Amino acid sequence: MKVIRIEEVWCSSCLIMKSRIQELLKEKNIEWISMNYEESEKVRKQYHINEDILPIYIREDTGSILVGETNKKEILNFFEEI
Amino acid sequence: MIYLDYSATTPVNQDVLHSFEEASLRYFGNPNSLHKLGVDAKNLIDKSTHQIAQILNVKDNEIIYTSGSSESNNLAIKGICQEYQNRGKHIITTELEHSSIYGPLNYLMDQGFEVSFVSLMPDGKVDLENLKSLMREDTILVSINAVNSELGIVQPIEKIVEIIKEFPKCHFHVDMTQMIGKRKVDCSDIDLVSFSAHKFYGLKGIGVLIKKEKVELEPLIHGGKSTTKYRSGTPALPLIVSMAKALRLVNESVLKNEEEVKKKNDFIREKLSTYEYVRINSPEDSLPHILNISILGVKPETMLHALEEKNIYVSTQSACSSSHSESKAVLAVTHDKERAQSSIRISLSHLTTEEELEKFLEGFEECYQKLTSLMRRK
Repeated sequence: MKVIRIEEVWCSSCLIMKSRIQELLKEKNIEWISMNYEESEKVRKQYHINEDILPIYIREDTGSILVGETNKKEILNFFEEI
Repeated sequence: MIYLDYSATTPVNQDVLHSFEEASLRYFGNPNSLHKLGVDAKNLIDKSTHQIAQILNVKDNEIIYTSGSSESNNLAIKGICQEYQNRGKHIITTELEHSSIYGPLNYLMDQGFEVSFVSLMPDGKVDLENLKSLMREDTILVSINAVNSELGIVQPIEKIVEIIKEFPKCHFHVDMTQMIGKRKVDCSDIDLVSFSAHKFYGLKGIGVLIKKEKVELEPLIHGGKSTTKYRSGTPALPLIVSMAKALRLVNESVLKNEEEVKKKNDFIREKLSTYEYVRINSPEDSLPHILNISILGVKPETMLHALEEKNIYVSTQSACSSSHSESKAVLAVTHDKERAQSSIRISLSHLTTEEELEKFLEGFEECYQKLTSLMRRK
C-alpha cells in the first residue's frame, strides 16, 4: 500500500500520529512517500485538499485522506485493505 | 515600546555585551593553541565554565558548549539514542515540548525508534502514574521540559527523577530553556540539561548541554577535542564568557526577581480576568514569567498585530498550519478548541515596569473592544 504523508519534522501532531500508526499497524507493509507542506503543493492540488492542518495522509489507491490527529478507529478505517 | 515577549528572547544586558567585547579584543587567541595567548584564553574559558557549573551545582567537566538549546536538544536526544540503541529503542516525551525536541524525535522514528507520549493531569503536569506505566525495559530516554514555553507549566522534575532512577538503563533529559535564570535550579541529579543564553539577557548563538560524567553520547559534531570530545569546534570564547556573566547576573537576584514577576503577573491576571471573552490558560502555579490567555473568537495574529500597532509586543504560537493557528499546548490543558485557536502569550521580566503594564492594559482594552465588538453585537 502506497501512502503519501505530508508532515513537518518539528510538528508534534505529525509525531503523535506516526507513533499511533506505528503501534496499530506493526505488521502492515506500507510504502511511505514523505514530503513537507511546501513540497506537497502539487499533490494537494491533485487530490483537492484544502485543509492545512498537519499531518495529512493520502492513500494512492483510493484517494482517501486522513487529516490531523485522529483516533484509533479512524486510523484503522483509513488503512483498511480494499 | 512595551516589550512583553521575554520568553521568545531577551534584550542583551549592557554589562554582558561589554564582557563580550572585552573578551573578543583582549583574549582573541585560540584556546587550543599551546602558546601563552592560547593558554590565557583557555584559562578564561575554564573560569567561566567553573562559574556556570557552580551556579547549577554540577561539575566543570559536565558542561558542553553548543550554539544554543536547539543544538543541545539534538545532541542530547540523538546522542543518547545513537549511543544506547543496543539497550533499547523506546523514548518517552510530552505534548508540551519545543519543536527542537520533536525534530530529532521525528528523525529517530524514521530510523526505527519508538516514541510514547505521557498523559497530562488537568493542570498540565505529567501524570506520574502514567509515566511509571509507560517505562519499559527498553526505554532509553525520557525527555521532558522543566517549563513549557507557551503556558509556563512547571513540571515536577524531582519526582520524575525518582521514577526514572528505578530504571538504570534509562536516561533523563530536561530542556530547561525557559527555567534557567528565572528560578533557582539544582542540576546535579539530572542526566542531561539544555539551555540557551539569549533567554537570560545573554547573546544569541550560545548555549549549554549539561551531561553527567557517567553518561555517554554520540557527538553531532566530530573533530578535534575542543573543550570536550562531545562537541568539536574552536570554543566561542567571547560568547562563553558573556554567557557566564549573564548567568551570574540573573542568579544574583533570582529569588527577588521571581517574587517581583509574580506580583506583576498577579496584577495583570486580575485585570484580564474581568473581560468577558478572556480566558486565562496558564495554571495558577505556572512560572509567573509566562501568562497565556485566550480572547475567544479573535485570531491570535489579529490580536498580535493590533497590539503591535500600539507598540506592544507579545507572542503567538507558530503552528503546523497557516490558517488554523491552534496551540497544541493550550488544547492539551484546556481541551477547548476555541481557546486553543485564540491564544496569545504575554511574557514578563523583572525589568518590566508598572508603567509598561499600565500601558499594556490600556492598549489591550482598546484592541479588545475593537476586536470583540462584532461578537457583542450578536
